[in-house]
Amino acid sequence: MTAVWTPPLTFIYAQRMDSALFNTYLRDNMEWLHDRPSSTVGISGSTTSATFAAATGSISHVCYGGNLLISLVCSVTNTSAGVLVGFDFAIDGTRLGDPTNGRLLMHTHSTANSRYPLTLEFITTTPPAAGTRTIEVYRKTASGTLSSDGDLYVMEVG
Amino acid sequence: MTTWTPPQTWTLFELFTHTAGNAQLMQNQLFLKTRAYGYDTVAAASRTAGFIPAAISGLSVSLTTTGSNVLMIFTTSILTTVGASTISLRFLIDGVAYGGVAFETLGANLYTPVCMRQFTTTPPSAGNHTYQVSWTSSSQTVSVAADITSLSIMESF
Repeated sequence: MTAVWTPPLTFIYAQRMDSALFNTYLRDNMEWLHDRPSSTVGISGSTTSATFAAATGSISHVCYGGNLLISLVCSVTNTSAGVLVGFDFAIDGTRLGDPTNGRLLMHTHSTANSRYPLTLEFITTTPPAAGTRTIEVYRKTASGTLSSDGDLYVMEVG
Repeated sequence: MTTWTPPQTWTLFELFTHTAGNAQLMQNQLFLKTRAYGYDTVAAASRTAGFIPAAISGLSVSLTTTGSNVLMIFTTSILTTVGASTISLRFLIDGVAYGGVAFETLGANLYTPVCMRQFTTTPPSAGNHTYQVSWTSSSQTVSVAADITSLSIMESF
C-alpha cells in the first residue's frame, strides 16, 4: 500500500486524540517519511529534433508539495559521430532547465552509434504543486538520430 | 521555517501537552518531510590551466543544517577549446575538499557532461556551512556551458 502524507496536525489545548487521528498523523505520516514513494519508468525512443522534445516514457507521481529528486540513467547514442545533444527534465510539460541548453549538454561518442553513459540528477528548486504531476525527459540533437535508453526515477525529497 | 527538536524520552504518566505535540510531532514531522535545502547556479565560469584547486567562481551554497549528513549534487558540461585536458572536481565544505572525480575531457570544442553526487559520511556539524566545487585543469583554460552549472545541497540523507 502506498504511503499517504497528511500535513501534520497543529495541536490545541486539551486536544483529544482518537484512533483515527493517531493513524492519520502518526502511523501514515511516519510510514510516508520512512518509505517515501518513488516512481520509475523506462526511457526509450529516438529523436532527430534540434529543439527539445519529450522522450518516450513518463512518470505520473503523486506529490505533496515538496521538492522532487529527478534522476536519469541512460545510454546515449547517435547515428552521427561527435554530435552535440542536450537533455532536460519537464514537469507537466514545462521544462526545468535553460531554454536553450536544458540541464545538460554533451557531445556523443566519436564513433557513430557507439554508446556513452549518462547520469543526470536534479532537485527541483520550486516544489511542484501538490497533486499528480507528470515528469518527463526532453532531448535534442544538433544532427543525426539521437537515442537514449535507460530509466527515469522520481522521489519527493524535501 | 520548520525546526528540529531532538525527540523526547517519555516517562510514565507524563502529560502529553499540546506544546509537546506541536514540537515533537508537528514540527519534527514537517522538518523530516521538508529537509534543509540550498541551490545555486552560475551562468558562466572558466579557469586557466593549473593543478592548484580553485573554487568555481560564483557557485556557492550557504546552508544551515542540524547535524545530519547531506547530499551534494553538482551538474555541468565542461568545454575545452584546444584539446583534451585532465580535469579534477571536488566538493568543498567550508573550503575543505570532499570526494570528487578526475577525468579527461573529450577534446577540442566538445562538451563533456558531469553529474557528480556525493553523500557525506561524517555529518557537517550543526550550524551554517558553505558548499562549493573546486576544479583543476592540466593544460588549458576550461569553461562550463552557459546556464547549466548547478550545485544542490540537501540535509538528512
